[in-house]
Amino acid sequence: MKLGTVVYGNQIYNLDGMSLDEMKLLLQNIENDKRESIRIAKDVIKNNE
Amino acid sequence: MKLTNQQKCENLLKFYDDSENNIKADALVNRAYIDKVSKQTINEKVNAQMNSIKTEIYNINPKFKEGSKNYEATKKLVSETLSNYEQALLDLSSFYDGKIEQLILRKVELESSLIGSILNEEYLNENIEKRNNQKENDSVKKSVKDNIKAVIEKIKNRRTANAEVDPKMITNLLDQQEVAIELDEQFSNNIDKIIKDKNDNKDSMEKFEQEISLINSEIDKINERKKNSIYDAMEIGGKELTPNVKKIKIFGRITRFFVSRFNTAKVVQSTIIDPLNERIEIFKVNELSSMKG
Amino acid sequence: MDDFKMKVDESYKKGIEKIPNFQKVLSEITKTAQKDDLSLELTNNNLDDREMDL
Repeated sequence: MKLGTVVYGNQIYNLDGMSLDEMKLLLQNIENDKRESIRIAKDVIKNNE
Repeated sequence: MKLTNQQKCENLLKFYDDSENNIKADALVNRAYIDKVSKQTINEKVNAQMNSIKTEIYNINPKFKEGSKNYEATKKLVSETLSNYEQALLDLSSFYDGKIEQLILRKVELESSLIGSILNEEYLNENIEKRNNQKENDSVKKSVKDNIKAVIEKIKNRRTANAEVDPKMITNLLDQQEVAIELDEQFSNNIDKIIKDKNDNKDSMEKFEQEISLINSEIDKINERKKNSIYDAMEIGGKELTPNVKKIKIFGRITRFFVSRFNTAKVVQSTIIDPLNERIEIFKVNELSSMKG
Repeated sequence: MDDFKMKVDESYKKGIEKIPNFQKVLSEITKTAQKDDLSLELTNNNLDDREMDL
């Protein structure tokens, strides 16, 4: 399967050219960003109470 | 620092846009990652098998030269068998990767539901705020309350003046009061409904988060199981193969004079290639077909 | 991967649609986010005018 490219955080990543470790790191970064932004959003909606 | 509703909504819109990109990017990278894990694991295994074949060939005939005419036929056989071997492993990894792919897609669905429910929470909060304001400031209610006040004043005045109070006035007062109560109830019912929606939304959010966490750990587990499965597939360990290995060793002990008289290619075929092909076939028939269901 | 990208888009859409009336939710939040302070400005201007009249 040709993996193609993915755009994330203003960067283009060539998935076919990445090593397993590089991919794992990218995955962890995306997960962390996601979790953090959900935490912040939850704080925003709690701002009422 | 208390944010205005406008500021909150601005933040949430940015969060909505960023989240859509993050969720989708995560899914693509995850899918690419599991594919690479498969390819890497399969490459390791195929290389190991190739080295094992080479070792076995040299065990049969230490003098065997790779460049020789005879090797061409053997090279072709080895190449075909390894292709076959690799394909069986690719089919095996596809089975697992298919399962993981479904989990990744389910995770995308849950994450987008979670993002949606966060926005929904804010929407419902603002709705409740709006309705409470309406309840306080509704003009119809206000005029009914003013009417009630006016009628009570009239009744008071007539009583002060010791004049008769017209029963119609009392009826009017009671009617107005009923209207006020009904209006209040309507507003309260509407607000109650929104509060219920808010609680349902909160419950949903928790469920989404729980399921996402379960999926994350399930994906890791299946990926590990896949790697182990690939490493274990078609390994020598079965009883039918040990005699072949022993046979080669016996050949090795016979003097080189006798060994060099055998057609190496034929021996390689019967003692290495054919048993490996058999292992591949048994694997396809037994394990692979049960996976495809 | 293109095939998978399409499936990701579909799953995303499916998830968002689980929220009741999500299009309304999004449009209300967008409206609130875009509500400028023009109405506040106008009120302030009126106050200034009144002060001047005094």
